[in-house]
Amino acid sequence: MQTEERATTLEVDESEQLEGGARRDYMTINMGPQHPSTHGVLRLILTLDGETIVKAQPDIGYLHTGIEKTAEGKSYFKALVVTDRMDYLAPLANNLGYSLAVEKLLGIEVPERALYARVILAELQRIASHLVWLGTSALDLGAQSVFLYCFREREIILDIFELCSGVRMMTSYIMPGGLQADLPPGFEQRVRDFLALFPKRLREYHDLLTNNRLWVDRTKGICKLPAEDAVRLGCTGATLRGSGVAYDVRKAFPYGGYERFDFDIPVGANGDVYDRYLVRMLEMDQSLRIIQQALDGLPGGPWQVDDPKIVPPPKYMVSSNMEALIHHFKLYTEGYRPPAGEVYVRTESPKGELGFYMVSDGSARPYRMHVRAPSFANLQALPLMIQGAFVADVVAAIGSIDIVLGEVDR
Amino acid sequence: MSDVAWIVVAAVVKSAIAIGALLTIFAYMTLVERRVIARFQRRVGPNRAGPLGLLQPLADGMKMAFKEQIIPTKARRLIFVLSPAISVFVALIAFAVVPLGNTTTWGTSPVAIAWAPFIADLNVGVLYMLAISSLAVYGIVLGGWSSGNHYSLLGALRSAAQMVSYEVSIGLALAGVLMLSGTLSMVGIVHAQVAQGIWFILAQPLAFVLYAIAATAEVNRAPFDLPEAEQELVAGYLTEFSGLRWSLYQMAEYINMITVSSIAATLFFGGWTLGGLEGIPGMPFVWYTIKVAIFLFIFIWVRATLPRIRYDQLMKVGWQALLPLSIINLVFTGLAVALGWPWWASGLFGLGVLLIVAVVLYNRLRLRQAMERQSGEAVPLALPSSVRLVRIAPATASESGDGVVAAPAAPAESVTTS
Amino acid sequence: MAEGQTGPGTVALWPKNPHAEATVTLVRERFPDAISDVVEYRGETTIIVRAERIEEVCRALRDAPELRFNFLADITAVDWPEREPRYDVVYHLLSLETSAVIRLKLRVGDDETPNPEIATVTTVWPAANFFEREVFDLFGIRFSGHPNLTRILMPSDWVGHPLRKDYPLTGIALPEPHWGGQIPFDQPLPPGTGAQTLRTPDGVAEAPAPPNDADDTR
Repeated sequence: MQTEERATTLEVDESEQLEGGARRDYMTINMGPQHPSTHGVLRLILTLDGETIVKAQPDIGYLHTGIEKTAEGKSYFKALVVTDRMDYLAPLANNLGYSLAVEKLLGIEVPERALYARVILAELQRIASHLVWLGTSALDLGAQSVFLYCFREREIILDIFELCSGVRMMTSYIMPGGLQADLPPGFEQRVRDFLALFPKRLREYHDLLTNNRLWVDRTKGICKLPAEDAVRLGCTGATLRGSGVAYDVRKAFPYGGYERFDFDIPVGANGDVYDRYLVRMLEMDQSLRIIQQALDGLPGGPWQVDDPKIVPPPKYMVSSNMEALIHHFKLYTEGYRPPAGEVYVRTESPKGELGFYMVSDGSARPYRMHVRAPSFANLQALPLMIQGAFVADVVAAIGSIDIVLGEVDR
Repeated sequence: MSDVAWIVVAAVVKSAIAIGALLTIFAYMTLVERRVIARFQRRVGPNRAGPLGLLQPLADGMKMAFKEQIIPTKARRLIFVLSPAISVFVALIAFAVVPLGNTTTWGTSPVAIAWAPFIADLNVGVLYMLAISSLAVYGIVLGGWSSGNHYSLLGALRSAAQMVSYEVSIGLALAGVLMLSGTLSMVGIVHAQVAQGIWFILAQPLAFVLYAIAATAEVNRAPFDLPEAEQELVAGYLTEFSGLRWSLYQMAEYINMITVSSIAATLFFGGWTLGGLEGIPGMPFVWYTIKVAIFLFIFIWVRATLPRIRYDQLMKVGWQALLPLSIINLVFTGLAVALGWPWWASGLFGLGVLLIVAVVLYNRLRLRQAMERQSGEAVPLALPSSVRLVRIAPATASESGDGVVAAPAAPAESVTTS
Repeated sequence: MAEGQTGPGTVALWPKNPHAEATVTLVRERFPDAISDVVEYRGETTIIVRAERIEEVCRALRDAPELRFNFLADITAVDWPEREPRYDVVYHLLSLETSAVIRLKLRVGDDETPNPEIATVTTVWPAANFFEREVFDLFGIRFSGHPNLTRILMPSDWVGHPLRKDYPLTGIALPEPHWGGQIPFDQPLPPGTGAQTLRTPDGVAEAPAPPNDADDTR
């Protein structure tokens, strides 16, 4: 009986002796890997004093899929598709980073049309990713309708991607050497329709949340991350900018034609959840500006490099031209061989600085592909952020750093 | 048959009808809520089971009934099994004093009065209601504690604190109405409104607003659904419950919603009356139902719109805003009643206080916005913003030809730290 | 194959970081014995540093007044099994203030030390914490002085380091007969079937085998 009684009593996991014989008991709860608001399979081991976080320890790896190892066994041409699966909310941003890295290894330059199209697609992807972030982080704080509104708009973007590539999410549409196919007819009109529609919808989100007293109370001054800590802990993206550091790879190290466009970087000041929220909200505005400019300047012409060793020949040529058939065969069976060397290409994915470190040994497969995943680095700041906060703030903090576990664990 | 026997039979039959009706309404309430929320969110909602999805509650009930009812090994079995029942029991008996029509609906003979459309007209009806609804916390606290799960425990504790805090405000807010009507009987209060020719919402607007907020918290509905905050505590006190036990808790929640809506309708909106139209046979039920339905709709509407409040903020609102306001209302209503002032005196006073609170809140928000807004920059949206747009000069493109590009723009402007 | 050689166009496309020269000079001056090579490729400058000096070099680069490498972008490793020393550990440094970029590389590991040990840089940038844990997890390179050097992506009881080139890709051989784990009913179960392996943080412990009359779980 005695033992049974003990077995059914909640255990005190940790305790601390206070003065005067009093004792403070701590409770450990496991937030995740199955939890509604850890955005996947993040596991947080929280030590609580009442509802206050005393200690938080992230435990990751539940979604480790060995993408870096997988890529080592595939040709450059085929390793592209595994990059889609990392940050599955922004596959085109991953494609872009990978393609730029491989192109740098190869030493090739893509045509203008591909450059502009990539910028349009990457910015659309940024908006789509931010929409998922906005929806889920609002949902975490209990504002459930925003979630579905955001997904409604994201659907429009995914439809555009489907128009381009036939796939909604894992498009692999941006590839080393340009695009998989030319932008389809109607693409421009669809994007322009979206550009006309989205500012109104963005305004609605602002109306629903930005000045909402409950929302402000839940996010303002919560889970602060001072700028120097954000830098020391390697945060990038909106997590860093929310703390007041104006670092955006698109501006600091322009890549893929971003230097041609006029846009601003929203930067916060307080480093709290609210600032990170606003930074992302304003980033969507800026993305619209970039898309508008890129769309206006979108040139015609080829969308792939003129090198049959790198991009597959058009299908009609394969069936009529011997040389094209050989290229086709060589590309799909063996691939291309960049010269030996190593490159690190940083891009600004929706989550932060996405770096591809590619090592080539001169063979047809990447000798090593390492991904500097922004979510992985941003996650390091989470324990610091939520120290001393409430359980309810933890979900706000997780939402505000916008991690995708597919990218954290790779 | 003697009158006493009739009264007993009538009470038993009416209770059975009330329980049956409440359970049916609960079932359809879930359907209505899902459909309405779906509309808010531009979805369709459940519409597959039966015409318009009308059989959905049945399907849900079947599923729940056949689900495995898990009792965790760490649970205290007896309490774990009992606590959902406590919740539902308490929710059901609270409904006993809600009047759906006048005492004399069916006539004035003792037998007709025994069949009047409410189970009991207690002379301490409001008090009884308050007493019973504060018992509801037992079901939740015991259920959460006995689950042997940390999340459940946190949910149960939140619930206990929340209910204790808001119970006080509810009681004090309702006291204003009681002073005006001079009775605690629910039927008596409706009669008092008819006699004075007004709905008490007009005399007690402040009390109604306070009651509406506190009652939402009392029944754990969004934005005060902290005890079962899905995104924070998985499901709070409900985490370990499954199958029918889980649906018992849901049942209790929805019946509580109906009960607090009924109180609001009865105490502030004249119950079954509607400017004399209640004289038409059968119409009292309709008026009553319409009033309650409007409140239930507002519950759903709020849930679809607002984010969840945080635990400490909830406590702050309860003790620092609702409680003082309800005391102010109580004192002034007491004065007005004692000095024999007409009803609009307290009504104007209540409106005035509400106006002041609104202005204060609005100004505070405005002030914060003004303090934080960046000067100068024309921001496309008027944001209460600590966020500024940083202009970074675009790096000059590499046409210099010598292979060296100008330095990538250094992170421009000041790197501010807070 | 592809035109990969550096030509004039390539230089314009991938310009050299303007602070690279200064960085190399600084390291050469401050640590003349620590720097073993400087490599340039596609405008990216790599300084190859002796393994035992990495922490000092990093600290000097972080504190250098005109460079201020205040941001550690990434740490990773590359395995070259045929080479001695076997591993490259690669640090990508960045300065958020001056936009200077540099890559540091050090080479460790040989046949005698399959799990080489180098100094941690978490003391310089706390950001190194997760990155070093990842390198330890996937390559088995140890970082002395790291506050919590445990596996991060793989389960804590995992055996082996997956990103090494000699890590088996096709799984580990099962005892015959296995046929995907199925054993025909007319054959007796091989001894040890159904015995559970307990994975503990300390390693793999063999749990007691079930009694012989245990249910045939086929």
